[in-house]
Amino acid sequence: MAENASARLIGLRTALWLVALITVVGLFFTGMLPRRPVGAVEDLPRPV
Amino acid sequence: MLRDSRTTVAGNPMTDGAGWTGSQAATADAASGSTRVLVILAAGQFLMTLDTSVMNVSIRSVANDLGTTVTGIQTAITLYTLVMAAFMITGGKIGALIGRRRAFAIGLVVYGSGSLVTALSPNLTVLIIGWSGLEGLGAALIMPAIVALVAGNFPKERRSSAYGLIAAAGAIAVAAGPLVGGAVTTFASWRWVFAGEVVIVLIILVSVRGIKDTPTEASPSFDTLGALLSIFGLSLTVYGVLRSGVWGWVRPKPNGPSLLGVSPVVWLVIGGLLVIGALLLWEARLEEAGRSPMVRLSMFKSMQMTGGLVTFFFQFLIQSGIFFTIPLFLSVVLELSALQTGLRLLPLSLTLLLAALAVPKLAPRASPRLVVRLGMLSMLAGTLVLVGGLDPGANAGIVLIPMALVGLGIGALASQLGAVTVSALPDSMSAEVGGLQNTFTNFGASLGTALVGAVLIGSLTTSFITGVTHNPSVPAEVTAQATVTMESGDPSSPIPI
Repeated sequence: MAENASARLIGLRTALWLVALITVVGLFFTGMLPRRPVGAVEDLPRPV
Repeated sequence: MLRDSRTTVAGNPMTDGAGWTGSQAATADAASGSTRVLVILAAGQFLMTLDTSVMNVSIRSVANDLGTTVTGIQTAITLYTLVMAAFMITGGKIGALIGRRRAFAIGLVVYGSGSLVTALSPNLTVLIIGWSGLEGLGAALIMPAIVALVAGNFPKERRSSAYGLIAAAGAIAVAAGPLVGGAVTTFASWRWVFAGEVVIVLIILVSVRGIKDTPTEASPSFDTLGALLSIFGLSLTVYGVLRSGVWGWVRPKPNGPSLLGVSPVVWLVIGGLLVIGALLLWEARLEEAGRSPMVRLSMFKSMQMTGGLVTFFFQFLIQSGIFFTIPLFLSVVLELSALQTGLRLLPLSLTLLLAALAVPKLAPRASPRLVVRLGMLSMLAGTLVLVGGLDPGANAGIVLIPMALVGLGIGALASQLGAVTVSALPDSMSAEVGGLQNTFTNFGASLGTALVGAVLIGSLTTSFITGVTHNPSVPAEVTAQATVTMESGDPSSPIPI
C-alpha cells in the first residue's frame, strides 16, 4: 500500500539524516588528531 | 619485504647453495616465518570483521528462514558487536595472563563453535546464542591477541606495515562481506557463510603453532571487579539503546514495559553510565595504588591516542549505520536479491580499498588530521547525495555515487587511524592500546546499528500510522490493528519493512 512505501522512504531518509549528523559531530573531534604524519621525524632523511 | 631483508644483512663467509650467507639465510627464514604469521593474523582479523558486514544484505533471507523479523536479526547483529565490545578489554587481559597465542587459539575454538551453531540454528534464539554469544566471546579473545602478537612477532621497524596490513585485511572484509553474503545467500543459503567460517577457523588453528608467543605478565593479577564493571556497564548502555525501537526512548510504547512512568531504556542507559563511572573510579584507585588495573587511565593523557580512539568510534558508528541502512533500501524498498544488493555495494568496496592502499603510497607525508577530515567530508557528501536521491521513483542506480564517496571516506580513515593510535604510546603498551581500540570500534559499531535501526523503525512506524489514520479508504478496525501492531514493536509480530 502507498502508506507503507511512503513510510519506508521516510524511515530511511530519517536514518540517513542521523548518519549525516553523527558525521558532522565526529568532524569536530578530528582536531585531536596530529597534524604531522606519524613517525615523520624518524622517517625524514638526515641532512648530509 | 623478503628481498629487503636479504639485501640488508651484513656479509658472512659461510654461504649456502643459493649463494646466501648463513645469517642472510637465517634472516630470510625469519622474514618468511613472520610473513606466514602475518597471513595467519590477518586471516583472523578478516574473519572477525567479515562477520559484522556479511549478513547485512541477507537480513530479510535470514529473517524469513528463521521465522522472525528485521528487528530480530538487527538484535542478533547488534548483540554480536555488543558482546565483543563488552568483553574486549577483559579478553585482552586474559590474553596477558594466559598467553596471547593460547588466548588466540582458545578464541578460535569458541568462535568456530559459534559459527557451527549459527550454521545449524533452527530459530532466532539459537542464532543469537551461536552468533552473538559464542562468536562474540571468541572474537573478544582473538582481536586483542592479534594486536599483541603482531608486536611480539615483528621487529619495531616492521610493525607499522604489519599493523597496516592487518587493518587492510579488516577493510577488505568490510568490503567483501556484503558481496560474499549476497552471493552465498542467493546461490545457496546464508548458512553456508557460517559453515565456511568453521573451515577457515580450522585452517588458522592448524597454523597457530608457527606464531611466537609474547611473555605473560610477570606478576599476573586479574582485576575481577574492573572486568565485571566494564562488561556490565557497556552491556546496560548499549542494550538500552538497542531496545529503544521496541520500548521507546523516553515515553513507553503501547503494551511496552515502563518504570516510574518512563521507558526502561532511560534507566538502562543511566544505569550503564553510572556503572562505567564506577569503573573509572575503581581503575584510577587501582592505578594510584600501584596495582594492575583492567584499563590504565593514564593512557588517556595522550591526546593522539584519545583522538584516534574517538575518531575510530565515530568511524564505526557512521559506517555501521550506513551498512545497516543502504542494504535495507536495496533489498526491502527496491526488492533486489541479496546478490544484487551486494553488487550494488561493490563501488563502496572498491573505493574503500583504493583509498586505504593509495593514500599511504601517494601521500605518505600527508597530515593525518587533514586526511581524516577529507575522508569524513567524503562520507558526509555520499550520505547527503543519497538522501537527496531517495524518492518513490528511485532506482538502484542512485546508490552508485554515494557508495563510491562513502567508500573513499572510510578508506582514507582506515589508512591513518591505526598508525595514529598504536604509535601514540610506547610499544610495551601496544596490547592495551589494541584492546581499547577494539573496544571503541565495536562499541561504535554496536551503537551505530542500534541507533540508526531504532530511528529508522521509529520513523517508519510513525509515518505508517499517520498515513493509515488519515486515509479514509482504510477501515477503522484495520487502522486500529495496524497501530497496535506497529507501536508494540514486538519482533515476533510482522512489520512492513
